Amino acid sequence: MEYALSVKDLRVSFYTRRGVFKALNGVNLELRRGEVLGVAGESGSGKSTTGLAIMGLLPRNAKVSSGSVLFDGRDLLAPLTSIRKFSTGRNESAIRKLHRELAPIRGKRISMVFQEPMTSLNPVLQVGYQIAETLVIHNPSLLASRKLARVRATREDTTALLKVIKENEGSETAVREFVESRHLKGLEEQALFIWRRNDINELRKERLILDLCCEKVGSTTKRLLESLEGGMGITKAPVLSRLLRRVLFKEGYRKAVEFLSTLGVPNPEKVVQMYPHELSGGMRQRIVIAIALINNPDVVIMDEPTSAVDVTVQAQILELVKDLKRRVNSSFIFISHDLSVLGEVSDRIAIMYGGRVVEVGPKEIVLKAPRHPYTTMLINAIPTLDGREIRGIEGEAPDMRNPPPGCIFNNRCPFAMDKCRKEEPPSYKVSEDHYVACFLQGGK
Amino acid sequence: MSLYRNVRRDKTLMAGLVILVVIVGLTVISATDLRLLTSYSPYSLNFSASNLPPSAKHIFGTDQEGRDVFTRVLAALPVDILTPFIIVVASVLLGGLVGVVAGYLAGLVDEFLMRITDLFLAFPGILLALAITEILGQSHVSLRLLYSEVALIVVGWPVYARLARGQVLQVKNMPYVTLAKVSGLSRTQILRRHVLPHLLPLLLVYSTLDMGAVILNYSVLAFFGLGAPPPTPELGRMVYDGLSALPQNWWSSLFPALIITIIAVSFSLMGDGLRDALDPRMGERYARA
Repeated sequence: MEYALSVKDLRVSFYTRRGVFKALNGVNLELRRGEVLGVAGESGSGKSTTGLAIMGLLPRNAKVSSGSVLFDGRDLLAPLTSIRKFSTGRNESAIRKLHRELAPIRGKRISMVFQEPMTSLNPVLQVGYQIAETLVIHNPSLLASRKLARVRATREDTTALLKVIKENEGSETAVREFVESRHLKGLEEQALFIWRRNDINELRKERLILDLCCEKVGSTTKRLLESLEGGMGITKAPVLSRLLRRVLFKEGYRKAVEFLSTLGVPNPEKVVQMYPHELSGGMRQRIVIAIALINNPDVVIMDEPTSAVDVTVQAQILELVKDLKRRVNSSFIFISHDLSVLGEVSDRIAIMYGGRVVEVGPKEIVLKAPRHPYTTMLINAIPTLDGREIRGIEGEAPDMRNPPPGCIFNNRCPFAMDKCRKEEPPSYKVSEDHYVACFLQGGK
Repeated sequence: MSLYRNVRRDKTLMAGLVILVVIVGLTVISATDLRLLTSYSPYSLNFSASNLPPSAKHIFGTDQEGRDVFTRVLAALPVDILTPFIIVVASVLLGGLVGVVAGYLAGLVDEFLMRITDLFLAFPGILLALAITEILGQSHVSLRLLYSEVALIVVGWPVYARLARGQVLQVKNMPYVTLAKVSGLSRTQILRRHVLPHLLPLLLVYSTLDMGAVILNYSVLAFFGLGAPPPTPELGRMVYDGLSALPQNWWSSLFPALIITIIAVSFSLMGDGLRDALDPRMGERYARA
């Protein structure tokens, strides 16, 4: 089976003054295309570290002793695992190399949403600029063709386009075919966006679509845009690149407005002109999600996107994620410590403990019929309204500087056997798609 | 309450700005043609009119050589404003560069650059400046102005290096920088668009405040005769020249000193006002209030 992304036997440890913390001890995860994979676990279980490692955002004291992150047929972490003798200096230069290699992928093919919506946005830049920025970096040719389409289109073109849209009731393929036949690529998403808006009436929509034409640009700008559309990068020539950048950012704002409105942001024309401090936490989180999604990435990692916002906003964000799952063809890794949140959005859930994935399977099975003792106890610890007794998990999480030998859960597990203290349990397949790393499930 | 505070802050900025505009205006006029402002010459001696007290004809009086103090104050403005300005700009550029490089690259480069900075900071500033000018200025009297500038730059830049480094370190660990990384920006793009803009307000405010201090420091150098060579009028030197005549002929040293103080204070006021005005959140409150 072809995976969108797979993590194989990832081992990461942090070198600190107080010792070496083994954060990830052989994490295996497969993300299928188009699914939402929920990752749960308590603090220190390594769920965030996994997310950061996939993005190549590990700090310089993090050693990747083995493992790989396979994406699109290549190992993203290769520069880090190829270090022979670990030192922070050597690791730092490897991280820089990693950064250079990953820059074209980050934001375009894999992107990430962070926990803190309050500080994830740059306070001195308009939010529209911050959304446009990733577009200008990764997809300038799209922006160029959007702009050029409006320049090239004649009134006659847009009239015909409107007719096509009306006849096919906004069918995407029909519009796309029409646009391609007239060499007006880039116009379709603009027209369809207007058509799908429901804040304005029919008549105004028609006028707006008709007005997607006959724009004028200077001949230099036009030539620059054409070369960009033809696959050339942004020119390095000082004056010209500024000129082009200005046009592209303006177009980026336009696209940002469209995108924000599909994310349910009210009044997006105003919002893009605002600065982060003028927006509420929920709105900021939507902006961050917009930045992550605007380039239509293959994989989106959401690291506790609902933890820093209150419950109402949390519900809105979850709705948004569910809606996105239906609309876009990205795959999501949704990290959270809240099992009920994961139950809401995920297709499959992976439970992490002590830097390992202890159980992974379809969400119904993992939540209703868990097989790993840790998962069972974790679910029993969730307060419910039906008066069921809540039982916390006895004991404390192991010291990750010196994890117990064998199964990492053996010091808290009521079923621990001698074998658990000696050997690390492998991952047993207990049913279709359902894997549990526990000796109770096999090997008897 | 916030309204009151905003207005008060606004007043500080306005006061500083008004004084500065007047002074800079006078400076520009005096640099182009002094005769527009006064009928006296700052250079020609007139011993028959020496030590005249302030009057309608000589509003700041005359000095021992009979030169009009007001005219000399005006003639001194270009040197006394431009020199500190050059010094501050050069300090900001040099210190800013060192600080940004140290903060952004971190590691050994940081360690190396900051230890050099510490070395310069360890000397008491004005003494170091005096020593440098004294040593260099002995041989080339005509280049003394340049040497005193160099000396004050040497004294001035480390503070900016520290400031810039601190700010870069703070900004570089902000989540939005991580977000920029995740969005696929390269290191230079992150530096240019997400780190450097956060330095500008800080450096602008601090350098405005610093202008006042540098004007004072430069005047101290001039006071000890280490500024521009003699016939050129200079506020600090004028204070010194008037000292010997002090209790009786107080005007020839007091007025230049007063002008120095006014300029320094106006820069301070302006720096304070700018600090508040440049805070993006404050700006928003201004708009709403």
